[in-house]
Amino acid sequence: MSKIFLLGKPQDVITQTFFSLCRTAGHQVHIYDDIDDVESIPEEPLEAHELPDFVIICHHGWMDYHSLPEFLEALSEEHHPIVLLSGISTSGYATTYDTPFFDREVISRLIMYSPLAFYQGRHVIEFAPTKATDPEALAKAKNLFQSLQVKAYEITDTPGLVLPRVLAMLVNEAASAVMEGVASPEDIDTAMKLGTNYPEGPLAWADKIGIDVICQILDTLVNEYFEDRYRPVLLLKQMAGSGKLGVKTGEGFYIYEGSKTELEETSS
Amino acid sequence: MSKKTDTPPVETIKRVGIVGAGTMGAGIGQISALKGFQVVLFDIKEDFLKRGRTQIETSLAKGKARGKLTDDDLQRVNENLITTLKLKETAQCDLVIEAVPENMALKKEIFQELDALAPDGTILSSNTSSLSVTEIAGATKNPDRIAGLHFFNPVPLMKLVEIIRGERTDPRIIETLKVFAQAVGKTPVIAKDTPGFIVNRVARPFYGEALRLLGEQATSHETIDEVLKEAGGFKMGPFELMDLIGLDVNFAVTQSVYEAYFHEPRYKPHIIQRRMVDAGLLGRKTNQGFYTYDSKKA
Ligand SMILES: NC(=O)c1ccc[n+]([C@@H]2O[C@H](COP(=O)([O-])OP(=O)(O)OC[C@H]3O[C@@H](n4cnc5c(N)ncnc54)[C@H](O)[C@@H]3O)[C@@H](O)[C@H]2O)c1
Repeated sequence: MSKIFLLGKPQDVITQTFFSLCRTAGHQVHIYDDIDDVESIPEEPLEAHELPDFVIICHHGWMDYHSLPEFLEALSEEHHPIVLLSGISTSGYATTYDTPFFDREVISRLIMYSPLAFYQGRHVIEFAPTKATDPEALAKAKNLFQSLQVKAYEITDTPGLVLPRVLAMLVNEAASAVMEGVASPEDIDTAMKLGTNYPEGPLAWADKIGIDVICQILDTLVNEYFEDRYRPVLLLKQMAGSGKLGVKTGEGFYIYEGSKTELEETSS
Repeated sequence: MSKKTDTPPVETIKRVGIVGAGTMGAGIGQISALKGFQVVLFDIKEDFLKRGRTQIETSLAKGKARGKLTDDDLQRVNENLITTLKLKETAQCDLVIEAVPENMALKKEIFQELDALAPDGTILSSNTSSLSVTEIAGATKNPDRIAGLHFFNPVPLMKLVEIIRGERTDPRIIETLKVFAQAVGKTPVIAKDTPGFIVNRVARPFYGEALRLLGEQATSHETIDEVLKEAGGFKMGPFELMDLIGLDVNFAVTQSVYEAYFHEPRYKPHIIQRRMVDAGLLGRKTNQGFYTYDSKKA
């Protein structure tokens, strides 16, 4: 049994999935809500027996360059848990060269992971150690994944790993086609499902994950590669900027009414 | 260029002319005849027409063996489909679908002939998967009666049809083609004439990013395929798909979209594609692509 701190919003799919997987596996699990919620940062350093073995960052509210080290320091100055960093969030990349915030102790216990499959109810994870991750920490993380009964794939540390990168770029392409008036979102999704057998249309899929999250993955790719190829198309940024984030806000490429999973096509 | 007449395009399709009895032409002829349309299938040689007929018979026999088609269905296709070596006969239809090889000069020539032969009101369409419908139509006197009608391979199985709206296509034609596509059992989507239309454009990153990940040695091609299937729910991974499509075909599509968009970086081909094509590792058809296939298996 391990002690696990989840840093994320309790209502978020990722946090919820980890919470139930951890519970089922018999781990002790505690959720820390958003960093803005100052109460959630322990005031007094925790007792040794209360310290976590793993800190899993589920939500990008925690991905700020300052809040995570602050949180870890607040826990304890001597104890260093293994940190799993979500690779689908702002600055969601473990070893970017301008990472000033992690000291070597933290980096040696840092592993990036992608929980994108959780949005489709698939218990699959991709993960990547940094170039400086301690092999022992990596082995422990693998054991954790095994105990959670998730299928885990080890990848080399790469911005966006595999699925987040491929999917965000598919969404970006579909969004550019919408923006250029090539076809309607409905027709684009239908075409990709029937013409090439995709499990979901990329735009409905993006609505499920969140347009903000898609933009964050693309931002990470732009920041790391400095390539035009990865820039999010204007439409995605405008949607993210105006709160059309998809299912969670009731509108994205489609409009969602009543039941959050019920998809209603926009009349436009 | 001015319009020949003011005759409106036909609203109800009954007779369908098909130019080119190859993989796609024969397939489109088969499903149209099956759904009760009168089909006139044209090719330039008797042998090619025969080959088209054989393809249709084989496909129908399979459908029957699987219990999906009845003897009545087979008979209906037989009655409804005729073949011809005269383009004029194929042009005397409500809708003509061109399915000759993917070559702009050839397509322009055929559309000029069709435009001259077909009665006013006849709708002319191309099954092209990568050429500009606007450019093809621009070579004729009546570009307003021309649209794209992009079926997918194999035609009897694939549900999708992309209807392509050229710059000068009459909007009424799009509606008529939509009804026709539904009548032959397909789901139509409508796309503006842009490189790759919908599917061949939006699918580009699936291959492009996978190739980049492989090029950077993020992991093996097997793992990339497996992650996309297991984590993403894709039925096939990008490397399996490239092997199936043929690396040469996939590379050609990538290049054509990249060129057509004036070197937009998102569509940039990858050096791995070129090397594999140069090496003759084309996928399943050469028994070796990203994966190795057993030559004894069909
Ligand atoms: N094969 C596919 O997967 C696929 C899928 C979608 C669209 N397409 C498009 O469909 C079209 C046809 O492709 P295909 O795979 O059926 O090719 P194919 O080579 O199987 O068939 C082409 C046919 O056209 C005939 N032909 C050649 N010159 C001709 C002429 N001057 N007049 C009339 N017929 C002529 C050939 O004899 C042959 O029977 C192409 O534009 C292609 O891009 C192909």
